[in-house]
Amino acid sequence: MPEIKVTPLGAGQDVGRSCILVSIAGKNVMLDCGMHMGYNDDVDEELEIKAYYAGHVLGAAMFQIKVGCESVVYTGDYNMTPDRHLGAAWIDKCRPDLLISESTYATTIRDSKRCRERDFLKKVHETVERGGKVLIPVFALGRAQELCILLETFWERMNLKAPIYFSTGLTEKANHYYKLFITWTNQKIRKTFVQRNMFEFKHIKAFDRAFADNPGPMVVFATPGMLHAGQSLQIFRKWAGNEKNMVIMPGYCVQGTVGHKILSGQRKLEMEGRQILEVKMQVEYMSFSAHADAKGIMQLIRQAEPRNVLLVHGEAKKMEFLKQKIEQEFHVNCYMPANGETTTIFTNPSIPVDISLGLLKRETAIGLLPDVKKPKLMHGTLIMKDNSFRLVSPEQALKELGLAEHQLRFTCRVHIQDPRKEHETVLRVYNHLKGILKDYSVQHLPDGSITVESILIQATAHSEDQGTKVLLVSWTYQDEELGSYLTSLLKKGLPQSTS
Amino acid sequence: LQQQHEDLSSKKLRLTKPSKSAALHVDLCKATSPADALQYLLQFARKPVEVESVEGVVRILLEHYYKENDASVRLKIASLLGLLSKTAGFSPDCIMDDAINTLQNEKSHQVLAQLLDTLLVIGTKLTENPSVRMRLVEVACKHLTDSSHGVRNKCLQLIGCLGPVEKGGAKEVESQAAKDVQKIIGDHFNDQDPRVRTAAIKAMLQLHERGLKLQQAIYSQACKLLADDYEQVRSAAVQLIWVLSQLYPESIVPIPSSNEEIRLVDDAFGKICHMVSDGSWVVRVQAAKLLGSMQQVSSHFLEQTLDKKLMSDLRRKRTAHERAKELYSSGEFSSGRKWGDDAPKEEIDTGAVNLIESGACGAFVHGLEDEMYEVRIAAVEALCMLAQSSPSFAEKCLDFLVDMFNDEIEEVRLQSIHTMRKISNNITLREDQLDTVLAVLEDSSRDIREALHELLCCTNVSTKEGIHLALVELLKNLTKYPTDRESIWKCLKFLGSRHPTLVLPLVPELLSTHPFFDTPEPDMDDPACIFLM
Repeated sequence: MPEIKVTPLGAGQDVGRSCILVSIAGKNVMLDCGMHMGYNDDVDEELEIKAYYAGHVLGAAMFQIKVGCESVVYTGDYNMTPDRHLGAAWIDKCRPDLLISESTYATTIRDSKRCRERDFLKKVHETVERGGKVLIPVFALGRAQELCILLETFWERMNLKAPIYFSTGLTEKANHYYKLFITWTNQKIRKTFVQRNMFEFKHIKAFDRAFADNPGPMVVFATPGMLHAGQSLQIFRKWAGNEKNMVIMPGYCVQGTVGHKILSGQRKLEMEGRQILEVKMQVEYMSFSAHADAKGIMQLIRQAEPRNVLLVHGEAKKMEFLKQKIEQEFHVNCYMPANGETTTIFTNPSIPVDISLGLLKRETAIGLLPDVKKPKLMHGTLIMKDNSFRLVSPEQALKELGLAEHQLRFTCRVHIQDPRKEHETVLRVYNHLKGILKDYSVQHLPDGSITVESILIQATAHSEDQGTKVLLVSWTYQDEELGSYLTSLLKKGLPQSTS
Repeated sequence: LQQQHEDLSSKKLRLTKPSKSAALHVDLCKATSPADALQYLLQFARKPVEVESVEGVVRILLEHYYKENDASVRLKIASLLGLLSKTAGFSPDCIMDDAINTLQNEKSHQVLAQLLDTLLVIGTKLTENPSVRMRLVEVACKHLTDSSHGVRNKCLQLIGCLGPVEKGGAKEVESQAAKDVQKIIGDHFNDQDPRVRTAAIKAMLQLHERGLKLQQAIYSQACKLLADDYEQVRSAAVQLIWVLSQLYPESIVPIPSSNEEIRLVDDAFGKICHMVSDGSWVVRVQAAKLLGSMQQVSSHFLEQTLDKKLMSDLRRKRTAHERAKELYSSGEFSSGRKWGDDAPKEEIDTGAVNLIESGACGAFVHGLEDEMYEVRIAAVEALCMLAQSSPSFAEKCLDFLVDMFNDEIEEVRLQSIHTMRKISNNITLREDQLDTVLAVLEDSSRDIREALHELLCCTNVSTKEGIHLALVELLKNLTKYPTDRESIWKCLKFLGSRHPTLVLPLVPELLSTHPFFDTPEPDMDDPACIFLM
């Protein structure tokens, strides 16, 4: 039985790491393992790869990997809710054998995005109005841009003056990429782009380390997003002591990070060097994370209609919950292997066969229109050659393979009691068949024989008993159905003639 | 080259004069190649033909039709026949038989489809004559087995436009025929070609538009089409389901995989809601639009559309409300607004919860945050229509509507403001909502601001502070955009007359703190109207 094997190396029941090994139709594919910069990775010619828009961050894609008729879709990170700068992930009904989906938010169904945006803006606005500083730890690409656009337009509309800063260098870089790939952004930015590039911010400026000590309100976007190191942590340490300030965590935080600790309500943090940092600033969490929520994951599954689902990038407990939901809802198998654990999925690939046009036309001319639900019987020759299958008419097959045609004929003698002369018997048989087989061409030939389509019937008197006539019925193998029908018909005898 | 051709033919026309048909005949006889003949026909098609010569021309065309071996020329002739049949004042019954006869030996599918189109034209001109329609429908039925989608497509279109729709009673036979037509069209819901499936659904809709009462049995068939691979099919199916929900709102349909039942309109509502998160935005727009006109839907289904989290469980009638509470309190899914509430709580009886697949939940939440503004506008419109007929829903959807005031696309903002104005009789704004509404006064688009002024004219505000806030913001607006003067005064006047008791205590404060009011002009308008009350 053909099968697909999946072994997560980093992403099994785990968040933050990745890499998954997939074996499909004898090919091994490594997913999410980072690029081989500078190398031109050879792609097997039997391997088809198709990318789908995934939202999440600029340029994010979901991949369909296909070998023959077996296919796997790997989602990577995706987002089913459009945001201020990107559209929503989309996939067609590609019905893969396996859908490997991330499941970071396996147990969350988010409220309307607009509520979150409003809350976010309100919190930032209030803090700034009372003279506080707002720290928003972000990762370089993605949420950062979304929130920048959100704040930028808000500042513009409300005519606010407090400065907004962004970690040095990143804005310019991002801006550059957004200019390059404007077609990958959302409807609004694409439309606006005709007049101006929305990523050319008016209110957001590059951040300098010295600014953190400036008096007065400000908003700073700083990396990294989980407050575990770098600039965001430095600023946090500076501002944590003032209750007027606020830190807004817009996304997920891994256990053990400062971000996770303060979100869990910890107010005293032990920093390196046994130093204790007391957190007085307000801590807010807002799920601006660009991962699909449970409903989004379900929606993607519904759209793609996979035969199996495999969850990665998530916490085991939450995955278990979603797995149950998926199996219940879609009646497909759902897997969630741990790192190093191999999942084997049996597939039942259909095998494509090329049919010759002539044969197809001939077959469709005979039968009614094909019906999706009913299997159709076809008469032809299957040629398997060079790893390909072709269905052609028998004549063509003979010609191509240089074979002579042999004919297989069946003949059958049917005895009929009829004292009349031979040609009279023939005439009676002819009339009888003509009467019954209205849809067939029944002919009486001058040489005294009868044909029904290509089946030949001849009558001779029995050599010993003149009152018995022997009907010789002869047909080819192809006409077996009609031939055997005819003989059984004739064996029943002729009707009593009325004359 | 084109020029030359025209010269030549005009000369010829002058020479051979007597009638149009004769001229055409001569031209066509002269044509040495199919390309030539096509050229003549094209030129001929550009000129009008008088009513009295139509029949003659048709006869000539038919004569050539039979002689012509080239399919493209026959195709052109077939289309010309249709064009001529449309001539005002011409009654095509005299050529109908001939037109039907042409179908008999035609081998080209394209020409066949064109001929059927011509028959459709003839049929639509002779709608008064039931026997003609009957005959044409019969012809169409015969060609329904054609292997080309184009032909089947046209056949279905013809049946849809000409099929019998007479109501039973007068003649039993005819109502039987009407049933049969639905059966024939319904059989093609499962055609292998998506274009034919679409045509079949459209034909059914056409019958409905012509006054035939569709059978309820179609409903289950139509529901299956919602899962079709092709967006055109799904889009048409959504329409058909909507039609049926309007015809049989109170019928009871079973819920699959349970022994419970539900009103058809509620079921249809749930299904169409589901299509609001379809993969194709065309379908999403269609679905969102139609939701607006389903006012008969039960209120608890309607309210689900604003909550993503409830999922589908409310479909079960009896325990609906209890379960809703359960879902909330057990925190089955977290909302993502609070940190840490997404840890799975104790398992509730999952067997009883039938998730996502069905149901109206969150349809509008999805629709309002769709990536395409077309869908968002459609959702806002639908919200408006539903809110107009249900005050309780109006109250509930207010938060969502207010949020739309901050949409990134101006058209959506404008539409939301208009919508809010239309339902303003049913609602009273809370202060925080008013806050968001008023923030839009700073919008740089004048259309938006004026729309907002209009909205404020007829808004109910709950508190004195609210009114005060509104006045302050309006004044800010006046300073920022002095051109809005007229509009703002009008707005203030209505606001005042609507909330006399709330405004009264504010008067002294307004007069003292805002010397602006003392300038002659606004003084006339604003305090005047307040004192009038």
